[in-house]
Amino acid sequence: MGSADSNKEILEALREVLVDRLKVEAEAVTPQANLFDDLGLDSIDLMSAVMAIEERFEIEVSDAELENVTTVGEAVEILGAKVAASA
Amino acid sequence: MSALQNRVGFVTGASRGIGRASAQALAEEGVRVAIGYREDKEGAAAASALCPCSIMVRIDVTSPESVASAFDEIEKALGPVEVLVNNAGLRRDGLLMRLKEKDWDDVIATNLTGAFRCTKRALPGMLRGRWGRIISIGSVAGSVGNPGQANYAAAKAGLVGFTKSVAREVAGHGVTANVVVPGLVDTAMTLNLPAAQREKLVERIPMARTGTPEEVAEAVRFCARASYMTGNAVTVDGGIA
Repeated sequence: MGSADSNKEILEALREVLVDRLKVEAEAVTPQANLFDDLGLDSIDLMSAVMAIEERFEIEVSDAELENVTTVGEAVEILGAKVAASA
Repeated sequence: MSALQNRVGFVTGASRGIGRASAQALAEEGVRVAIGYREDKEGAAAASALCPCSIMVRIDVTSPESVASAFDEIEKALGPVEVLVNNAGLRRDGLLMRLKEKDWDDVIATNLTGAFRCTKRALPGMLRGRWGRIISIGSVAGSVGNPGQANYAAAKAGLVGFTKSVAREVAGHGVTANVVVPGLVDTAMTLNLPAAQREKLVERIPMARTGTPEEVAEAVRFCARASYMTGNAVTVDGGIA
């Protein structure tokens, strides 16, 4: 699986998690959206969402890797790279 | 109907004493309780018989594998744990000068690290459901100290700091974390105190008597029901602290 494909899949999965669990509007979940300012998440929300993605794609992301993540796109990049590496 | 009706609860060390009474109090509120036990299967069965819709789960909180499999088992049978009571505990008393490394380690491993492990495992499910209650059983030894219990007091005081931190981490997510801090309570764990020490302890209690597991379980029930209390230590000690 190429990284572009996996990124698209991750974005979809992330959107699903954010909408289902954190009651975020689906159309608000764009790569440019700021997780905290635009989507109103906090660090615990981000952690829960990442854990859901980790479980689903059987990957593992360290806290340090997520430290500087502020947008949906940045999160997708990091998660997508993990999925591509594990494929 | 109780606000706790049909919630899923898990009480570690529930085969007797405060754990059993807490499981029973939660069951009275309609919680479907998993009765955690390590060795005393008979006690766990007796506790389970008092709690409608309960299951029994073997768990050794000092083992990460055992904690993982216990939670897996509960999730399969009842669903994600929503009310966690970190009660599993043990004492290995001794004056500090003679306290063995192992007695220190065992007490910290069960009373403090065990609670960390179970809470960590339970949290994602609680956050997912946006509702959860973490209730840890501390001890007044952790707030006022007790000669011969430096290890136990350290672990129990540790639970308070642990709980206050977790409470702040998840406060905006429908999950509360509190500690119930019992004084001297009649349980198998305290009945083996030397008679002289026990007498001296009772003398320090303004209410001039020991407490019962059921009296402590009332505070556990309260912590499970309370929606605006978090990071708190609820003392149930006849007035000692």
